Amino acid sequence: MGTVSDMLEWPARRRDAHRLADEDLMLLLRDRDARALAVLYDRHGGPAYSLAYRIVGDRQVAEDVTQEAFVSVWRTGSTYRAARGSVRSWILAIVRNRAIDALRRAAARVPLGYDDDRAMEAEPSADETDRDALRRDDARTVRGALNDLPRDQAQVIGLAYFGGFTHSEIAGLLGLPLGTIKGRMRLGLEKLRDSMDDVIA
Amino acid sequence: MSAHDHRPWSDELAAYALGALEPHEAAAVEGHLVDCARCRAELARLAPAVERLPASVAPADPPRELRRRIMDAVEADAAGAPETSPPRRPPALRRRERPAWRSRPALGLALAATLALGFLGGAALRGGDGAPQRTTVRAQALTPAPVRAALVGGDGSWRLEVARLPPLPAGRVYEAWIRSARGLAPSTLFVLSRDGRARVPLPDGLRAGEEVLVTREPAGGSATPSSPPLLRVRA
Repeated sequence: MGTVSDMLEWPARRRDAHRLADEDLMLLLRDRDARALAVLYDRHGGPAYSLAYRIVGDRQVAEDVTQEAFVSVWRTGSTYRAARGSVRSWILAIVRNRAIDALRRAAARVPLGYDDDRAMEAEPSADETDRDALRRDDARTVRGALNDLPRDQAQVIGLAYFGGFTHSEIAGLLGLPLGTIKGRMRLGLEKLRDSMDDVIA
Repeated sequence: MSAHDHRPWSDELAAYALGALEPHEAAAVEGHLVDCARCRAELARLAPAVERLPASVAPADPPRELRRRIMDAVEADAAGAPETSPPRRPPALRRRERPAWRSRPALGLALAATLALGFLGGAALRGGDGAPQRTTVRAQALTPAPVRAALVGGDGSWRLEVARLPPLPAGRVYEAWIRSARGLAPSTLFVLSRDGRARVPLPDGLRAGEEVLVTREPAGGSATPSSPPLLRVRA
C-alpha cells in the first residue's frame, strides 16, 4: 500500500510518463500519480537543486529546500496554470521562494558578514561536468547576458533575486537612493530581455 | 497616460518582478495592474528575463539519495501519513543578519505565483484576531457545509483565510473570484492543507464593496465559474 505502482490506475501511463510533456505530467499529478512527480524531479531536480544551492550556499540546506519544493509541487500541482508560464519556471519560482525562506530562518539565528559579491556571481562550480551540455550552453548564454550588463545593474539584480534582499535593503547595503536601485533593476532586466530576444532571433 | 507618467511604475514593476518589493508596495503594484493593461504587458515582457536567471547558476549535482527522500515523502503524503523524512533543521548559513522579514509576494512573476500554499498557513481563523491594525470580515457560507472563512487585511492588501471547506475530489481545485462593478474575475487557485485550512493571497487587489467568492473548479482553474459559490465575503 502506498507504493508508486499501487497508486497507478493506468499502467500505460506509467510506462509512458517519461515521454510526456511537462504540461501533461501536471495533469497526471492532479490525479495524484506520484510517477509524474518522479519524472518532473528527473527533469528539473538538477536545476532546482542548483538554484537552491546558489541561494543558500549550503548543500544540506539546498537538499532540504529542494525536498520541500517538490513536496509542494506534489501538493499544489492543481494550482499550476499553464497560461502563466512553463512548468519549469513554476517549479523554480517555488524553489526560489523556499530558499529565500530558508535564508530568513537562518538569518534569524546567525548574524554574520554578508559577501555581496557572492550574490551576483555565478561562480564556476567544481562539480560542473560535461554531462549536461545543453544546460551549460543555456547557462553560458544567460551568464553571458548577465556579464554583459553594467556591473551596477547585475549587482542589484543578483542581490534581489539570489540574495533575497528588498530594494530598500539593497539601497541600505550600497548606500544609494531607492530610485537608483529600482532604476538599475529596470534597465538591467530590459537589457537581459533584449539580449535573450537576440539569441532567439 | 503619457510615457513620462509611467516611468515610476516601470521601475516599480522591475522590482516587483524580482520579488524585491515590500509586501505593501507589492500590493500597490498589484492594485495598479488590475486597471492598467499597459503595465500588465510591461510585466509580461520583464518576466521572462527573471525566469531565465536560474539558468545562469552553475550546475550542482544533487546527491542521488535526494530523489529517494523526496519520493518517500510524496508517497507518505499520498498515503496520508506524516512525512517520513522531514527536512532537517538548517545549519548556520554564512549570511548577514537581515531585518524583520515578512512573507513576500512569490517572485511577482506576472502574478504567476498566485498559489495558495495552504499547508504553510498555521494560524487561520482565530476567533478574535489579535493584530489590531488588521481588519477581519467573516464570510457568509452559501452551502450547508460548516464552512468558516474570513477576509483578513487592510491597506489594499487582503487575503482569504479558510477553514473547514469540504475536501476536494481528485482533479478539482478551489478558485477564488473577485466580483466588482466590472464583473467576475478569476483570482487565486488553492487547495487545502491536511487540516482543511488555507491561506489564500488575493494579489489582484480588492476595493471596498467588492466581493470574494469561492467555487470548486477543474484543476488548472476556470475563466468563468462552473459551479455554484460555496462562500461569499464583501470587502
